[in-house]
Parts: sequence; C-alpha cells; structure tokens
Amino acid sequence: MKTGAMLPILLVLFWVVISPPVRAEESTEDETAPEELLFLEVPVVVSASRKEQPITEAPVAISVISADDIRQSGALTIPDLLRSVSGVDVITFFVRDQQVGFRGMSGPLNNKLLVMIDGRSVYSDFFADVNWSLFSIAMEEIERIEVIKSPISTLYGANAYSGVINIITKTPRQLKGTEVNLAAGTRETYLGSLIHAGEWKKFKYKVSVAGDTTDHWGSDEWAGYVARGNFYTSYDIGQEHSVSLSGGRAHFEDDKFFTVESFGPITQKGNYDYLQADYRLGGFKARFFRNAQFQDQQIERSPQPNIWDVVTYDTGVQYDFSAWKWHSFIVGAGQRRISVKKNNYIAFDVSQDLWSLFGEDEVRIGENVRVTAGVRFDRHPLAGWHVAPRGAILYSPAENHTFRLSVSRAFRNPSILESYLNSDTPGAPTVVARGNADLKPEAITSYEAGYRAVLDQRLTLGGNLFYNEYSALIIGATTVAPPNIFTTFVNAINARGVGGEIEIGYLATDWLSLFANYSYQRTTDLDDNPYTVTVNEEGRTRHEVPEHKVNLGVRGKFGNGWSGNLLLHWVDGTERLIKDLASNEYVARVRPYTTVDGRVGYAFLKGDAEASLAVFNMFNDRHYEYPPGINLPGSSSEKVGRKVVLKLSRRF
Amino acid sequence: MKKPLLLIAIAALFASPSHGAAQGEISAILSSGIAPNRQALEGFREAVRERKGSVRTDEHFLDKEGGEAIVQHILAEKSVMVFAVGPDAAWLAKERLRNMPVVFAMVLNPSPLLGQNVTGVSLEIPARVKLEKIRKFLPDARRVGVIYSKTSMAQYRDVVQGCKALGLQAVGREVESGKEFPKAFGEMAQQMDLFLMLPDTKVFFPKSIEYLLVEALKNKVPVIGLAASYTRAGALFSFEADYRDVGRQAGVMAVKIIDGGKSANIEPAAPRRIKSSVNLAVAGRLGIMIDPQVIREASEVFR
Repeated sequence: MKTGAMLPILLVLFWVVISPPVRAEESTEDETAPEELLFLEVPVVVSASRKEQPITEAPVAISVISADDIRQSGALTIPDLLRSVSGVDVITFFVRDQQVGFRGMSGPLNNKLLVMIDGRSVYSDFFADVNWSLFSIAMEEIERIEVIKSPISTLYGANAYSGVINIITKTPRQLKGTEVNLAAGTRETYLGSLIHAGEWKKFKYKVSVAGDTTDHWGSDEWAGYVARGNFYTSYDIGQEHSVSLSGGRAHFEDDKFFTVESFGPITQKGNYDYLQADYRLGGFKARFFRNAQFQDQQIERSPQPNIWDVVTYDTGVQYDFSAWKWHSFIVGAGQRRISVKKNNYIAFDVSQDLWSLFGEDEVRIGENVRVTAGVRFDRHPLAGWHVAPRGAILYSPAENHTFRLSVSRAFRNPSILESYLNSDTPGAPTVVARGNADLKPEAITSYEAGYRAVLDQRLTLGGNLFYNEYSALIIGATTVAPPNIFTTFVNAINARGVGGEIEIGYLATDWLSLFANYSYQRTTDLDDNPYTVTVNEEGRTRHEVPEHKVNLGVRGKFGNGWSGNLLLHWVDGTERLIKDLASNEYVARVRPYTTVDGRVGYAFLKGDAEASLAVFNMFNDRHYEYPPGINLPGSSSEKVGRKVVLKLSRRF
Repeated sequence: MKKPLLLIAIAALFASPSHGAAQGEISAILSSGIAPNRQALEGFREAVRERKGSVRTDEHFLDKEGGEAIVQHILAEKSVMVFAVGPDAAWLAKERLRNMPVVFAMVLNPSPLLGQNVTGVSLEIPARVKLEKIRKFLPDARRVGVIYSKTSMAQYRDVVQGCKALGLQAVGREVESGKEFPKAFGEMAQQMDLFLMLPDTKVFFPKSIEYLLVEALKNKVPVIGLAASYTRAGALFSFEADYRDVGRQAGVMAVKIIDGGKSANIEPAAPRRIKSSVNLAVAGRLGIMIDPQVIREASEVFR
C-alpha cells in the first residue's frame, strides 16, 4: 500500500479524534450522575513496594499502563505497548523477536531487566533474557502493566538491575463470562483468544487459550506462531485466607530469532510451561512456581542444533505489617533452584541454588516527609554473598507537588551460559568457547531525583533525572591464538549513565486526553574495552541505544460507541560495533525513525462487542531498529513496515 | 468450503440477540452495561423467577440504543412493566412511559422520581445506618468531617441529624466546587476524627479523590469511602449496597405489581444488605486496631 492510500484512513482517524461527541456537548459537571462515583476505579500500584499503594506515594520512577490503554492502543505485542513509556527502549529484530530495556541498557539478549507475570519471573535462566513473544497469556487478559524504571533488587532480587516490568492479569471476577477476540491483518497476521472465567461460592476460575501467527516484515515467508493457554483457580478459605493454583503453556515455532552476532538468527520451536501456587493468610504470603523452558534451536551461523532444557523452582515468602504507628514493614525470604540439562553448549548437567533475605521499612516523618529504607542479602553458589540496599525520601512541600530523591544498588548474577559455556566449533580456525565460573555479579548504583505535580486537576507533570554507575559489566572476550579463536566472558567494563525523562498528561475534556514525553540518556564507558579496537569508542560514549526519544499521543473516547487513538514515536539514530565471523570490526548505523500508529474502534451490541481498525506505522517509514549486519551470512534483523489489523471482540 | 463456514461462525458470534418481546414481558432499561447494573438485573430476574416462574425480561442499554428507540420498542411490544436501572433509565421511564408501572434501582436520590407509576429501591444507604456502623467500627471517633456542596446539602443534613441522635459531632464545610476542596480539607483536618465521603460529583472527582486519600493519610484521618475501590486505594472503610440484592428487592416489588398491586401503594425502599470493606494496611498506617469481628464481617479486606 502506498503512503497516499493511507490518507483516507488518517483523515477518518483525525476526524474521529477531533470531532466533539454529542454527549460531551450535552454534558456539564452538574449533569454527571453521582452514582458514577460509586463505580469509579481508583488507581493503586503494587510493584513499587510489593504492596498496594497510591501511585503518588511510590518511592521509585513508575509508569502504569492500564487495560484501557492496552485496548485503545490496539498494540499486538507487549513491547509495542511499552514504546509509549518514557525511558523505555524497544528494539525489533524480527517480527516475532523484540527486546526491551531501560535507560540505555538495551540490546540483543538484554539480561538487565526483570519481567514478572502475577509475581512469577519470566526471564530465561539460561541466558537471563526475556522472550517477549512466548508468554502464555493473551493481551486481553492483562489488567495493568507497571513499569519501574529504577533498579530495585532490594525487593525483587537478581535481574531487577535496570528495573522491573510487572504484568498483572485480570481476576476471574473482572473477566466473568466468556470473551472472544479475532483479528486479521496484512502480512498474513492472525490473532485470536478465547477467555472464560467465573466463580462459584468461594471458588473462582479462569481459562484462556490464544494464538497468533504472522509473516516476516521483509518477505512473504512465514515467521512462526505461538499457541498459548493458561488456567487459574482460587479458593477463599476464610477472610484474608486464600489459596490459588495456576499454570500454562506457550507452544511455539519461530523462523527467525536473534541472539548474538556470532550465532546470527536462529529458528526454534518448543514449549514454555509454568505451574504456580499462592497461599495468603493476612499479611503473610507464600508463593511457589515452576518454570520449564524447552527450546530446540537451529543456529543459522553455526552448524550445530541445540536444545535448551531448563527447569526453575522458586519458593518465596513475605510478611508485611505495621508497627509503632509510623512504620510499615515488609520482610521476606526466597530460594530458587535452576536445573539445566547437558546440551551442546553445556558439558554437564548444572544445578544452582540461590538464597535471599530482604526487609524494608517505610517511615512517615512529620506531615510532609516519607522515608523508605531497605536491604537485601543474596547468596549465589559461584558469586557468593552480595548486598543490595536502597533508600528514598519523598517530600511534598505543597498540595499536589511531590519531590523524590533515591539511591539504590542492584545486581545481576552471571547467567548459566556465562558461567558454564563449554563448546568447541571445529573449523579453520576452531572456536573454543568457555564460560567463566569466577564472574562477579554486575552491579549498578543509581541516584535519582523525581518530581510529580497535578495542576488544576487536569494537567499532570512529571520528571526524573538519573545518574547510574555500572560496575563489573560482563562482556564477551575473544582472543585469537592460532590455530584457535578463544572466547569467554569477563567482568571488564565500568560505565556511567546520565539522563532523564519529562512527562506531560492533559485531560482536555472528559472525552479527549493527550500526553507527551521526552527521554534523554547517555552511557559512557569508563574503561577501554580491551577486546575491541577503538572504531566505536570516541569518548567511550555508547551509541548503541538512542540518546533522544519523543512520544506523543491523543485519545478520544466518546459516548456514542466510537473511540480513537493516535500515537507518534520518534526515536534517535544509533551506532553499534559489529564483528564479522573473522572478528573484523565495523560500525553499523541505524537512522532515526518515526512511526505513527492509529486505531478507530466502534462498540456495539450494547457494548458487548467491538470492531476496531488499527494501522501501525501508517506512513510506512520502513526502518531498521537494529543493524542487519556487515559481512555476515544472513541478516541480523529486518526492516519494520506498515501493518493494518482489523479486530472483532465479543463478550457473552 | 472453509471460508463460508468461517463467515457463518463469525456471523453467529456477532449476531445481535433477538429483541422480540413477547406480550406480557418485563422490559429492563439499563443506563449502561457496567457490572453493578448487570448484577442488579441478575438479582431482579432471580427474584421474579423464584416467585413467578419464567417471566421474560427484555433488556435495553440506554447509552448504546438511545432513549427514543427504546421507548418505541417498549410501546410496540406492550411490555407490562419497566425495570429501570440507574438514574438516566429511571428518568426516561418516568417521563416517556407514564402509563406503565416502573420499578427503579441503582438510583441514589430517587425522591424527584417518585410518582403514581414509579417505585423502587434507592442506592443510598441512610446516613444513620452508616453512622451506626462507623460507631461500631471506630468506637473512639466522635467528630465526623464532611465536605459538601449545594448538591449534597440534604445528605449533609441527614448526617448532622444522625450524628445528633448517636452522640457524635458533625464537622462540615460547604464548597462551591472541588477546587475549594484542598483548602477546606486543610482547615478541618485537625478538627475531625474521621472523614465521611458523600456521593457528590461537584466535590469528588478522580483528582480530588486522590488528593483526599493521600492527604488524609498524611493527617492521620481515616476516610470512609463510597465503595470497595476506594478502600482498596486508601480509604479505611467503605460501605456500599449489595447490588444484586438491590435487584432482588426490586424484583419482589415487581412481582407485587404483577399480582395486581399498584406502584403508588408500594413504598420505595433503601438497600437492606450493606457490604463493608476494610483496608488493614491503612489501619496500620493510621495506628488503628481493627476489631477482628469487623474484619470477619467485611466483604472485602485489603492489606
């Protein structure tokens, strides 16, 4: 479709967004029914302190994406949703392979972010990265996504290095009934989900099945599919006394999935399974889950097939309570066992036991000041004990104005691959790859200042400044020792990151809202990388992630069933050092890009059905988000293009 | 062959349910399809079914179908009665279906609605009932803070009378709009032992609610909210009607009318079942010990 053909769609979107709805003209403050107050959902957040609290009291930089935001955006993937959040970097490698990072810590196999679904970590313990397309939940099940852009290992442990994304699904009560969603779009895109939930006395349940498939951006080749399913059951034993059991599977096949340059794209198929049990008695909570990841991979730039078989058992307890009038405590402990079966890259079965203990106190001092202080102790079988403290001060000098100062230290344990890799790739030269059992955890110390204000009840202003000190960053170290190339992992780099975010939200009328945000980030290495030449080290500044990003959005929700949403993302260009298979180095550049996404929805059948048309990248700015590689067999990424999707939703 | 089957399946999925109303059926008009309104409708149907067997209840959604279309449909189908859920639906039924018995539910201030053909169940919990519960939940609290506008003046007067009867003291501030809320709350923060919210949209909207919950915690003032979502967000307690039971109460009234009773002779009623919710984390922050009996009786407990 040519750009000109998009004009009618754009005009319709524009008309829908700017047209005043009939109800808005009729409505005044006095005509708002007081009954609506009884049914108002008052927002709270849970991630920031592992307990529910108003967003204004969160001691960290946090953004919340609601179920309505998800629906109105029309986004097909969670990473695409996160593009609108300031400070978040999203990279699309292939249509089914995206990575997410915070504040400059982003790239392939991003292992510096913790992602949780209903309290269960979903990162891969083998690489410590996140496979975003392989979750076992449908988008329509998500109640909200909380994005914490601050290091927060104190409460969440390893991998909460640059932050946490907490995905919270809807309860059976919220989903009660049956919901069907069907979507079809260009590039042979098909998505569907069926969700059923109900309750019977003290028993609640939820069942969901979903699936999606698409072609690649750059060709008519099939890119793969995923079939997802999950269940949830809970039983209320008594007041504040409940038990729940849930489980799910994502069965998948991917045509192209990017890992690292030396591997290139991989094809893979397999299953991600989980089983989770939760118990709650008053302020005491216990959780057990088992993640099982089975992946059968074929690496494009290596002749060897590979099979990952990783099982993780995680048990955690926590207790939150109040004492001495001003104090609110939370304490907890956890144990995690990771078991990996021998495969082409691990010479023997590996099992690791990790232990943790944490505590945090929130103190209210006087009328306007709150102080949060906490610490966590973790034991890793190879890296030993380490400590992750954090502290924050919130000060409200005037109504609707809050200042926040915080300092936190977080860490990331070496992954199984980094510690235990053992692989020889025969050839000329032979590549000898070994893990390093002496690696220390990567550490980050983050200093933050934040401000949030609500003016005239309609205008929300926010801003964050950060200064991060990264130490003992783990990098791949390759040395040529003819006739072999020897590669391993080392703690070689210290770095610093500076930046900030500005956010503005404006509720123009009761049917029209707008937002804008801007992010700046700059990361500079404090050491030369001894394993590269200096072609990309001007001032040692990293150009691998965009320094500047801008997001703009406008949304209209009308009483006549129509709704419209427009989003604009501008992302600065990047540069990255690429090595070919002979370890020659090149600087590869990705130009800045702009995408505009729009969605028009119409609700009918008394609100129980909705039809929507979404256009992503409507001006078809075909762009790379990661360099495709230089002198490498096969491409490391593909150009992102336009996609048009029609979706029908029905609730019974 | 597959494509026609797929089209048929999609058509079946999105086909509108039949609106054909048999003569003698009850027509339900819902102001909107929100869950509480649907719960009330479910309760209504339960109560009618238990007493009269299978009486069909056709349902219409005012926000989607428009008032005129609904009125024409009901007149054409000669429904025997209207069950109106929510204020918009109740006003439509009162003004446009004057010759038809109307039973309403989910209306906070039904007094202007009442008439020869209209009765129903209010959503408002009488101030006296709320204050009795507050006295049980917070036995040491004496001064009840309220911010009201002209819109909620009558409700504030009920609070004042209820306080007098129970030996409590009402501390009130009248405001013109929610913009004056912060100033009013700041002036009275040290003069009250708890703050009671009234359902007044001039005073309360999302930002003023957020302000109240945060400032009340800062000032150690327990807030009595309007529904469980307020408790979850930071109010200490909330009391609200059991919406399904409100529907059941209305269903009982409808059966009386079907059996020959007259709307004018059936007294409007207040909700008979009150649900409470409590936030123990807020209680901890406020330094308030909550009686275990109160926790046991609560419909929802947040920590």
